[in-house]
Amino acid sequence: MAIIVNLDVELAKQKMSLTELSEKVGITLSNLSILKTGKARAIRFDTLNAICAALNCQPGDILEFRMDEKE
Amino acid sequence: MNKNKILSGLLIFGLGIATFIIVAIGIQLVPLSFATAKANPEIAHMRVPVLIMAWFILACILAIVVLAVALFGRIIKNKVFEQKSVSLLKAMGISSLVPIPVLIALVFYTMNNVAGSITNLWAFFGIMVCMMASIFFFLISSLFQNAVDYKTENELTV
Repeated sequence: MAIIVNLDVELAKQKMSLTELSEKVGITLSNLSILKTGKARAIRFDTLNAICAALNCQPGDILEFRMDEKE
Repeated sequence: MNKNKILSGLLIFGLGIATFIIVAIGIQLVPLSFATAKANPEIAHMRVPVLIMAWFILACILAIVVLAVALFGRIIKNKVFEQKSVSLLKAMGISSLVPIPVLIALVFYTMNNVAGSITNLWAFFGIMVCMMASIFFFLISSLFQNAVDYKTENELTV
Protein backbone atom coordinates (compact mmCIF):
# COMPACT_ATOMS: atom_id res chain seq x y z
CA MET A 1 0.00 0.00 0.00
CA ALA A 2 1.17 3.56 -0.68
CA ILE A 3 0.40 4.73 2.87
CA ILE A 4 3.24 3.87 5.24
CA VAL A 5 2.71 3.78 9.00
CA ASN A 6 5.72 5.13 10.89
CA LEU A 7 4.44 4.28 14.33
CA ASP A 8 7.62 2.38 15.24
CA VAL A 9 9.72 5.46 14.39
CA GLU A 10 7.59 7.71 16.61
CA LEU A 11 7.65 5.12 19.39
CA ALA A 12 11.46 4.98 19.16
CA LYS A 13 11.66 8.81 19.25
CA GLN A 14 9.50 8.90 22.39
CA LYS A 15 11.31 5.83 23.81
CA MET A 16 7.96 4.23 24.40
CA SER A 17 6.98 0.60 23.98
CA LEU A 18 3.91 -0.59 22.14
CA THR A 19 2.50 -1.94 25.43
CA GLU A 20 2.87 1.47 27.08
CA LEU A 21 1.17 3.17 24.15
CA SER A 22 -1.59 0.57 24.28
CA GLU A 23 -2.20 1.37 27.95
CA LYS A 24 -2.09 5.14 27.36
CA VAL A 25 -4.35 5.15 24.32
CA GLY A 26 -6.73 2.38 25.38
CA ILE A 27 -6.35 0.39 22.18
CA THR A 28 -5.61 -3.32 22.32
CA LEU A 29 -2.05 -4.44 21.70
CA SER A 30 -3.19 -6.61 18.79
CA ASN A 31 -4.85 -3.63 17.08
CA LEU A 32 -1.75 -1.48 17.58
CA SER A 33 0.35 -4.33 16.22
CA ILE A 34 -1.87 -4.47 13.11
CA LEU A 35 -1.29 -0.72 12.68
CA LYS A 36 2.46 -0.94 13.31
CA THR A 37 3.01 -3.80 10.86
CA GLY A 38 1.11 -1.98 8.12
CA LYS A 39 -1.65 -4.59 7.91
CA ALA A 40 -4.39 -2.08 8.81
CA ARG A 41 -6.83 -1.18 6.05
CA ALA A 42 -8.16 1.93 7.79
CA ILE A 43 -7.63 4.07 10.87
CA ARG A 44 -10.35 5.90 12.77
CA PHE A 45 -9.89 9.61 13.54
CA ASP A 46 -10.47 8.75 17.22
CA THR A 47 -7.54 6.33 17.17
CA LEU A 48 -5.31 8.76 15.30
CA ASN A 49 -6.27 11.51 17.73
CA ALA A 50 -5.44 9.33 20.75
CA ILE A 51 -2.11 8.17 19.32
CA CYS A 52 -1.08 11.72 18.37
CA ALA A 53 -2.00 12.94 21.87
CA ALA A 54 -0.06 10.13 23.52
CA LEU A 55 3.02 10.54 21.33
CA ASN A 56 2.76 14.33 21.14
CA CYS A 57 3.08 14.33 17.37
CA GLN A 58 1.16 15.19 14.20
CA PRO A 59 -0.79 12.69 12.03
CA GLY A 60 1.80 13.31 9.30
CA ASP A 61 4.52 12.00 11.61
CA ILE A 62 2.74 8.66 11.84
CA LEU A 63 1.34 8.37 8.33
CA GLU A 64 3.36 8.88 5.17
CA PHE A 65 2.45 8.65 1.50
CA ARG A 66 4.93 6.97 -0.82
CA MET A 67 4.18 6.50 -4.51
CA ASP A 68 3.65 2.81 -5.12
CA GLU A 69 5.61 1.53 -8.13
CA LYS A 70 2.65 -0.63 -9.17
CA GLU A 71 0.36 2.42 -9.22
CA MET B 1 -26.30 -21.51 22.77
CA ASN B 2 -28.26 -19.15 20.51
CA LYS B 3 -31.21 -19.97 18.27
CA ASN B 4 -29.09 -20.05 15.09
CA LYS B 5 -26.74 -22.64 16.56
CA ILE B 6 -29.64 -24.83 17.71
CA LEU B 7 -31.16 -24.62 14.22
CA SER B 8 -27.79 -25.50 12.66
CA GLY B 9 -27.47 -28.49 15.01
CA LEU B 10 -30.93 -29.70 14.00
CA LEU B 11 -30.07 -29.24 10.32
CA ILE B 12 -26.86 -31.24 10.77
CA PHE B 13 -28.94 -34.01 12.36
CA GLY B 14 -31.37 -33.84 9.40
CA LEU B 15 -28.51 -33.93 6.92
CA GLY B 16 -27.08 -36.95 8.76
CA ILE B 17 -30.39 -38.74 8.22
CA ALA B 18 -30.35 -37.57 4.57
CA THR B 19 -26.87 -39.10 4.17
CA PHE B 20 -28.14 -42.39 5.57
CA ILE B 21 -31.14 -42.32 3.19
CA ILE B 22 -28.93 -41.49 0.16
CA VAL B 23 -26.57 -44.39 0.97
CA ALA B 24 -29.57 -46.71 1.51
CA ILE B 25 -31.05 -45.65 -1.87
CA GLY B 26 -27.64 -46.24 -3.49
CA ILE B 27 -27.56 -49.78 -2.10
CA GLN B 28 -31.19 -50.46 -3.03
CA LEU B 29 -30.59 -49.36 -6.63
CA VAL B 30 -28.84 -52.67 -7.38
CA PRO B 31 -31.78 -54.98 -6.61
CA LEU B 32 -34.15 -52.40 -8.12
CA SER B 33 -32.18 -52.39 -11.39
CA PHE B 34 -32.25 -56.21 -11.49
CA ALA B 35 -36.00 -56.25 -10.83
CA THR B 36 -36.63 -53.61 -13.54
CA ALA B 37 -34.46 -55.49 -16.04
CA LYS B 38 -36.28 -58.73 -15.24
CA ALA B 39 -39.72 -57.11 -15.63
CA ASN B 40 -38.69 -55.29 -18.86
CA PRO B 41 -36.25 -57.53 -20.74
CA GLU B 42 -36.35 -55.17 -23.76
CA ILE B 43 -34.43 -52.50 -21.76
CA ALA B 44 -32.21 -54.91 -19.79
CA HIS B 45 -29.14 -53.72 -21.75
CA MET B 46 -29.56 -50.28 -20.13
CA ARG B 47 -29.32 -51.60 -16.57
CA VAL B 48 -25.58 -51.12 -15.95
CA PRO B 49 -25.09 -47.71 -17.66
CA VAL B 50 -28.19 -46.23 -16.01
CA LEU B 51 -27.17 -47.70 -12.65
CA ILE B 52 -23.70 -46.13 -12.94
CA MET B 53 -25.24 -42.77 -13.88
CA ALA B 54 -27.68 -42.96 -10.95
CA TRP B 55 -24.81 -43.75 -8.56
CA PHE B 56 -22.83 -40.85 -9.97
CA ILE B 57 -25.75 -38.44 -9.39
CA LEU B 58 -26.27 -39.81 -5.88
CA ALA B 59 -22.56 -39.32 -5.17
CA CYS B 60 -22.88 -35.65 -6.19
CA ILE B 61 -25.93 -35.21 -3.91
CA LEU B 62 -23.98 -36.92 -1.11
CA ALA B 63 -21.06 -34.54 -1.70
CA ILE B 64 -23.43 -31.55 -1.40
CA VAL B 65 -24.91 -32.94 1.83
CA VAL B 66 -21.43 -33.54 3.33
CA LEU B 67 -20.33 -30.01 2.36
CA ALA B 68 -23.54 -28.62 3.89
CA VAL B 69 -22.77 -30.47 7.14
CA ALA B 70 -19.29 -28.88 7.14
CA LEU B 71 -20.85 -25.45 6.55
CA PHE B 72 -23.38 -25.82 9.37
CA GLY B 73 -20.51 -27.03 11.58
CA ARG B 74 -18.76 -23.74 10.90
CA ILE B 75 -21.93 -21.85 11.93
CA ILE B 76 -21.90 -23.69 15.27
CA LYS B 77 -18.19 -22.89 15.75
CA ASN B 78 -18.83 -19.19 14.91
CA LYS B 79 -16.47 -19.42 11.94
CA VAL B 80 -19.05 -18.84 9.25
CA PHE B 81 -17.76 -15.62 7.67
CA GLU B 82 -14.38 -16.97 6.62
CA GLN B 83 -12.88 -17.78 3.24
CA LYS B 84 -13.32 -21.52 3.92
CA SER B 85 -17.13 -21.09 3.96
CA VAL B 86 -16.99 -19.39 0.55
CA SER B 87 -14.90 -22.31 -0.76
CA LEU B 88 -17.43 -24.80 0.65
CA LEU B 89 -20.31 -23.00 -1.06
CA LYS B 90 -18.42 -22.87 -4.36
CA ALA B 91 -17.69 -26.59 -4.02
CA MET B 92 -21.43 -27.16 -3.47
CA GLY B 93 -22.15 -25.14 -6.62
CA ILE B 94 -19.67 -27.21 -8.63
CA SER B 95 -21.08 -30.43 -7.15
CA SER B 96 -24.51 -29.30 -8.37
CA LEU B 97 -23.14 -28.73 -11.88
CA VAL B 98 -21.37 -32.09 -12.16
CA PRO B 99 -24.54 -34.25 -12.66
CA ILE B 100 -25.65 -32.13 -15.66
CA PRO B 101 -23.30 -33.76 -18.25
CA VAL B 102 -24.28 -37.16 -16.84
CA LEU B 103 -27.98 -36.32 -17.20
CA ILE B 104 -27.41 -35.06 -20.76
CA ALA B 105 -25.58 -38.32 -21.52
CA LEU B 106 -28.56 -40.19 -20.05
CA VAL B 107 -30.92 -38.26 -22.35
CA PHE B 108 -28.91 -39.19 -25.45
CA TYR B 109 -28.42 -42.78 -24.27
CA THR B 110 -32.18 -43.19 -23.70
CA MET B 111 -33.04 -41.51 -27.01
CA ASN B 112 -30.81 -43.96 -28.88
CA ASN B 113 -31.86 -47.07 -27.01
CA VAL B 114 -35.48 -46.75 -25.91
CA ALA B 115 -38.37 -45.54 -28.03
CA GLY B 116 -40.99 -43.38 -26.32
CA SER B 117 -39.36 -43.34 -22.89
CA ILE B 118 -40.42 -40.80 -20.26
CA THR B 119 -36.96 -40.99 -18.66
CA ASN B 120 -35.92 -37.92 -20.64
CA LEU B 121 -38.61 -35.79 -19.00
CA TRP B 122 -37.18 -36.66 -15.60
CA ALA B 123 -33.67 -36.08 -16.90
CA PHE B 124 -34.61 -32.59 -18.17
CA PHE B 125 -36.27 -31.87 -14.83
CA GLY B 126 -33.07 -33.02 -13.10
CA ILE B 127 -30.95 -30.75 -15.32
CA MET B 128 -33.17 -27.77 -14.41
CA VAL B 129 -32.97 -28.59 -10.69
CA CYS B 130 -29.18 -28.95 -10.85
CA MET B 131 -28.82 -25.63 -12.71
CA MET B 132 -31.06 -23.81 -10.23
CA ALA B 133 -29.20 -25.32 -7.26
CA SER B 134 -25.87 -24.38 -8.80
CA ILE B 135 -26.97 -20.78 -9.44
CA PHE B 136 -28.27 -20.59 -5.86
CA PHE B 137 -25.01 -21.89 -4.36
CA PHE B 138 -22.85 -19.58 -6.48
CA LEU B 139 -25.09 -16.61 -5.58
CA ILE B 140 -24.81 -17.40 -1.87
CA SER B 141 -21.03 -17.90 -2.19
CA SER B 142 -20.76 -14.49 -3.86
CA LEU B 143 -22.74 -12.91 -1.00
CA PHE B 144 -20.54 -14.70 1.53
CA GLN B 145 -17.43 -13.42 -0.28
CA ASN B 146 -18.72 -9.85 0.13
CA ALA B 147 -19.48 -10.51 3.81
CA VAL B 148 -15.98 -11.95 4.36
CA ASP B 149 -14.44 -8.89 2.67
CA TYR B 150 -16.49 -6.54 4.87
CA LYS B 151 -15.56 -8.52 7.99
CA THR B 152 -11.85 -8.43 7.11
CA GLU B 153 -12.06 -4.70 6.43
CA ASN B 154 -13.80 -4.15 9.73
CA GLU B 155 -11.29 -6.26 11.65
CA LEU B 156 -8.38 -4.41 10.07
CA THR B 157 -9.81 -0.98 10.91
CA VAL B 158 -7.93 0.23 13.97
